[in-house]
Amino acid sequence: MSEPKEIYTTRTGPWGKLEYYYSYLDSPDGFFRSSTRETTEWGFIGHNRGQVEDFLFGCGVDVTELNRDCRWIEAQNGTIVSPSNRFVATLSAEVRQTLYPAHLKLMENATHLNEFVIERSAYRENTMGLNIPEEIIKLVEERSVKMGKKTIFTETAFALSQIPDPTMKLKFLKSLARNRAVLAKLRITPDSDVEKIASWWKAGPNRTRSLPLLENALRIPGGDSVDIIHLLPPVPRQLLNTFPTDTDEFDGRKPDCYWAAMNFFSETASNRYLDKSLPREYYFLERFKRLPRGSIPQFGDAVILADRKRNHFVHAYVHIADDIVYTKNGKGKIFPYILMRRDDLISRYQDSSDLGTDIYRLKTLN
Amino acid sequence: MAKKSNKRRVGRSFPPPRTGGRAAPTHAAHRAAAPPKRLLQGPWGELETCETYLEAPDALLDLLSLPSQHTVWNFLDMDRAQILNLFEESGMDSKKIESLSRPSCWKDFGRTCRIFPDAGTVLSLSDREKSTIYRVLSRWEENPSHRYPIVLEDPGPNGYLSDLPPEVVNMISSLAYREGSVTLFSDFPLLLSRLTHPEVERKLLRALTRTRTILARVRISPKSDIPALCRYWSAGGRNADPLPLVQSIASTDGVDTLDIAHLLPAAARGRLYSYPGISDAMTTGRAPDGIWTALNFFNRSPIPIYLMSPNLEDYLTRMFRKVEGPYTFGDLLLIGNPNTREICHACIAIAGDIVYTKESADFFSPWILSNLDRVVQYQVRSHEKAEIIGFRRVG
Repeated sequence: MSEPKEIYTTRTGPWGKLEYYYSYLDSPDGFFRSSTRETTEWGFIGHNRGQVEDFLFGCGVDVTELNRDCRWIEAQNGTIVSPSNRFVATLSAEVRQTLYPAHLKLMENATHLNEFVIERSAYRENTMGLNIPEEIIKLVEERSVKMGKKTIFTETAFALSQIPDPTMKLKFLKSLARNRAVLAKLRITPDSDVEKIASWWKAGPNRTRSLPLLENALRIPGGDSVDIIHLLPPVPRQLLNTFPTDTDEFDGRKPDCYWAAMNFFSETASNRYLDKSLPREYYFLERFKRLPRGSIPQFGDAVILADRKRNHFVHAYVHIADDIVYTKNGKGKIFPYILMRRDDLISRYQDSSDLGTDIYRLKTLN
Repeated sequence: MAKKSNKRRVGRSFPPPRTGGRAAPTHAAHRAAAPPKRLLQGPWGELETCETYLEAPDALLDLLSLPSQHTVWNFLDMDRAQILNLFEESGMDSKKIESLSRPSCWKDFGRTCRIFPDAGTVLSLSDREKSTIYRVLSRWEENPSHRYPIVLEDPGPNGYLSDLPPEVVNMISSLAYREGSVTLFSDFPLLLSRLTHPEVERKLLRALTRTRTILARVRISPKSDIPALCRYWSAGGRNADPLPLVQSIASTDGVDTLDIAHLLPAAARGRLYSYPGISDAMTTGRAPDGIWTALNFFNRSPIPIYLMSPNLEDYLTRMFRKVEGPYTFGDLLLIGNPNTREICHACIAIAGDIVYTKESADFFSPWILSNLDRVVQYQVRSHEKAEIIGFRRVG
């Protein structure tokens, strides 16, 4: 089964005009082999059983009923409650809408919460070509919850329990983790402003030596097109549309959005940006200057999404052109380095109305 | 095969050494339509290719200073009799030899003898005279334009330089000479003496840095044999990174062409169609050459082995095994000079006759895709058949 390919274009601007279409990147098979567990677990780090029961009660969970049909695991660093799938199935939409976002907020620094962001709330689109059973698609659509403007699905174990076929289980996990990437070309036409276009893509240190193909295309009187991969600096050019590998981990730390943004203009990727001995701000202010609010980003600017109210770092990405950005949406191996539309990216992160952007530019640039 | 003993200079050279081959009237500067495409079919799928030229960026050109407009021939450790003998061997008539022997153009500086031929003499040199004399001059770094001659495409009126003024193109044509299977050009100073405008000089300089390369795109459609295609490009598991993208495109309706850069290993795709920078030579003090490029095709962290590295053969023996053709994606092709029996270059098989290569350690030599025949022609410059040995990475 295949979907028709639609070609989109960005607005025309100093970058020229980009033509693009969407491609859905699946994580390699091996990533999910050990993730097909069918038991739901809600982890509460730093909480004892009593505190957890209070929290669940506050979210509208029938704790008495839960206790008839669940397992409690009290560990050294917190508590895990494992409700039966029968119990999970009985949770009303209202309870789920309260419980899951509140749980994620409470445990926002914890990992492995099993939640998947359903980008643009369009899960069905992500199942293309995977033959996911209709009832499972509906289950995800109906049981996903809103967290601010983003849509999340957390009942992965419950859904897996509804799928008997092991191969389909893997496909289902792939569908949840699918990444919609933008594949783009710069289209140069006879009326393109070649000076402006060259200037846009040459922003950044040592750029000209890696842009002879752009120069070439700009000289052709009839116009030409250049795959955007040839317009990127060396590091993102190497990484674009690929998934991190084991060797990309450094001292147990994995490349994330911040690492990808900080290394955008690097000649070779530096693991300095995985260090935790100094705060992120240190590295940003070492190399970047923050532009005044309302500034217009240029090619290569790092953009930080932050929760202004809580002064909390949410995500980092790199501006490419118009509404196309370069990003890695998380630190796991299931998140590739891709180009995305900015609005799609925001839909992954906007869990409150206090999300703001700050633009950072290399100090060496104007 | 022994390693090449003729150590090539790393870094800036003048004029920037460039490559060539057959005529290709597709240069961007004067072509008005998309270049003609060639379709290569095989286990790699369907590969759409066309040719184009890369020019060195201004930042690199700015590092060059133009030489004097006076031609100079530097002969080291050759006495007057030996030089005159060389002129005679080249077939020069006595009138030309007499002209070159005049005290006004012949200067001795101890072990170096400098001859300043006048424009008329240089212009009158026959192909044989030039190739004989210039081959000797190319032994010494003191003669950069002979040691690193420009390898020309067809310089004729419809050739790849046709965006230059016709009189410049004609002069280049008349000064070019043959060496084995290639056409060379060394008389840059004389050419400069005929230019009257700095803009034309700059244009010429840029044009002479042109490197012919291949642009390639793989056609992918739902009808493609995706498992076979993935098998080919994964190079036995050494290049798994691009496979998710291929599979993704295959599931989208309609034929799509994917730029070949997406299918190369990370480091190779990062360099394709780029010129080396300072950072490429920062830790080792040496700029990447063809051997370095081939050995590091799959390496994210490059190993510092070059044409002249003493451990080259040991590394090849330990990390690779010999393979016979037909070669497949990622195979390393070692090229030997049939005359000297020395290793002179290496490149990487991509698909069919297309290879990934960097022609020299020069900063004006970008990482490109080329045809194997053309690479051999450039490196060996001989009519004799070059020796090509295939290697495949072990493990």
